[in-house]
Amino acid sequence: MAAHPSLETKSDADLLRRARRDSAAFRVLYDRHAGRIHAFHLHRSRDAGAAMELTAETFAQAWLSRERYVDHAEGTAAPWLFGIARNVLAASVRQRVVERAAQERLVLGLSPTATTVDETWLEGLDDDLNAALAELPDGQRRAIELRILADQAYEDVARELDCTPETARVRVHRGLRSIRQRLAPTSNG
Amino acid sequence: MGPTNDSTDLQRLGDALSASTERDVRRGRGRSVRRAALALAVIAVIGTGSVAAATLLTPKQVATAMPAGAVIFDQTDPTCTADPAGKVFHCTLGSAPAPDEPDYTGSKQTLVADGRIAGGCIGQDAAGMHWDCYVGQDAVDMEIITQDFLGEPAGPSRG
Repeated sequence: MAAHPSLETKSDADLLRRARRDSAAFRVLYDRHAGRIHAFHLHRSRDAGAAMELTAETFAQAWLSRERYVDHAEGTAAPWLFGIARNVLAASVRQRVVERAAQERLVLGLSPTATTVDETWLEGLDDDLNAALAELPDGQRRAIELRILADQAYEDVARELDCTPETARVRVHRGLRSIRQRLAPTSNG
Repeated sequence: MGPTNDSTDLQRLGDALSASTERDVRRGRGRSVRRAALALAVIAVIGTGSVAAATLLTPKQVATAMPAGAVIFDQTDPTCTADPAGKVFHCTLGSAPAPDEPDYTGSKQTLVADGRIAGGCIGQDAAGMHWDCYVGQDAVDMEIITQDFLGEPAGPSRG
């Protein structure tokens, strides 16, 4: 992986801000998340070539939309990237061909593989997330639903959960960490 | 594909992505420089305080930019007049364009000046004898060309 010592300690949100004019910052973000995004696509498609192409498209789209990124998750871009990954997957299934629009716009130059897109790629997609959410304690699950899924401010989340904004923040943070661990790829992908 | 291959392939993908994103950043810088140069040229030509950015090109230059941008305008001898507001150039062809389309109403064609995409025109009638042309950002706002296209080298082929 590329070494950028001064950037390694930055949060994802900081990297995306810098990436507006510095591609090295985006590379650090890629190195940080590519493994998990690839594992997600491999898990869905069960096809090594397709997983790589879907990963390429996910990060190409992330690059092209980096200026629209809004930090809703304590500095981590993982939910944002997984949202893009999910959209790339869904678009590919809808079109019956792996989505490549962003790669082509960036002139990424990867050779397309002869991939057969299958509707089964989307089967159980929501179940994974719901299962991960269901395993969380009620407070964390509700905090994530309100903050991440309903896009509410911490003050509103706190009011809803009858706690302080700081407590709401901690619950979201811990919940996201648990989800990340739950959805992390296993060693065999 | 095993974990080692995945890791190598992901690194290769990262390298390809880095090269493309760096190129994209440089292109963005180039566009900014071109826009700044264009703005300076406008200021130099028409002076500060004027809002008529379209006067960067004269009606005669727009007429020349039509066949330079689209092959259908070859040997059509266009003449253009500027709208009083300075935004639209009304252009009339001396002879009919190549019959590429059954109806030119709403057809969009690019303008090329000095080898670069400078704007675009929209067909006003079925025969393609009358066109409204826009220069620079006005052409983008009219959705004749995309923002990325404006100022780019025109290349060897014309639309």
